Amino acid sequence: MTGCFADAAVGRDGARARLSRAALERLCDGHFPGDPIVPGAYVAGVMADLGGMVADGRALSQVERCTFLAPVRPADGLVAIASAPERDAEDLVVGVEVLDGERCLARGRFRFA
Amino acid sequence: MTFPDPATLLRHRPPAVLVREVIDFTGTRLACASMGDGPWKWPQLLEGGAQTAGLLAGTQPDGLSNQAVIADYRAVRVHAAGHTGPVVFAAEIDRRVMHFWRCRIAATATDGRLLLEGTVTLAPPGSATAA
Repeated sequence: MTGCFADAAVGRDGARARLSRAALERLCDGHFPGDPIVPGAYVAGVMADLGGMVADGRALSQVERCTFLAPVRPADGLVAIASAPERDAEDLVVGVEVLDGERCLARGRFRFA
Repeated sequence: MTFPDPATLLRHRPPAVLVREVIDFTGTRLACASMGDGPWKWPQLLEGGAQTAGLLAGTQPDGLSNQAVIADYRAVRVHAAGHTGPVVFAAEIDRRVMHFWRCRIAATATDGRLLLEGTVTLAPPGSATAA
C-alpha cells in the first residue's frame, strides 16, 4: 500500500501517520462507483505497513484480527496509530487503529515474525 | 449450477474486480480464477478472497446481497508477501451468526502453493461494521 502516508512519526511508544487522501482515492478505483470505500483488505494493508515501522524490520506473518467499525472513505484528517510492539514468544505483535478525529474506523492486531 | 460472470454479480467495477470466473462450486465452497496475473501484494490476495466469499455468501439461502460489507478479518496468515502469476481464490462457509457470514478464504498459486489463508466475516449493508 505504497504512498498511503502523507507523513509518519515513529517513536518508542509506537507510530502515528496521516493518511494521504489522494492515495486512498486511488485505492477506491472501482470500489465502488459513486460510493468510494477503501477496501477493507487495503485498509488492513495500510495498518500493517504502519505496524511494520515499529516491528524492527520484521516481516508480517499474520493479521490476527482486523475489525471495521465504519467505512473508511477517502478524506482529509484520517490518521493511523500503532502501539508499541508487544513481544509474544519470538514474534512482535502491534495494535493499530485508523481514526477520523476521535472516531475509530478500524482496529487490528498484526503479528510480525 | 452454472455461475454467471462474477463481474455481473459484484458491486465492484474494474479495476477493483479481482476475480475473473468461477471454476468450482459445491454449494458451500466456491473457487474463482483471478483477474490477470498480478503482480499481487498480500492485501490484494486478501481482497480477492473476500470477493470470492461475497459471491459464495450471495448463493446461500437467505444469503447476502452484493451490498454486503466486511465486518472483520481474522487469523490471516500471510505465506507470501507477494506473487506474480495467476491465482485461485477459494472461500468456504465456516459459520453463520444471525445475518453475519464467516468464510474461510485462501489464495493459492496455480502450482498449489498456498499464498494466504484466513477468515472473513461478511455483514449486511447498514451494519455497524463496514468496509
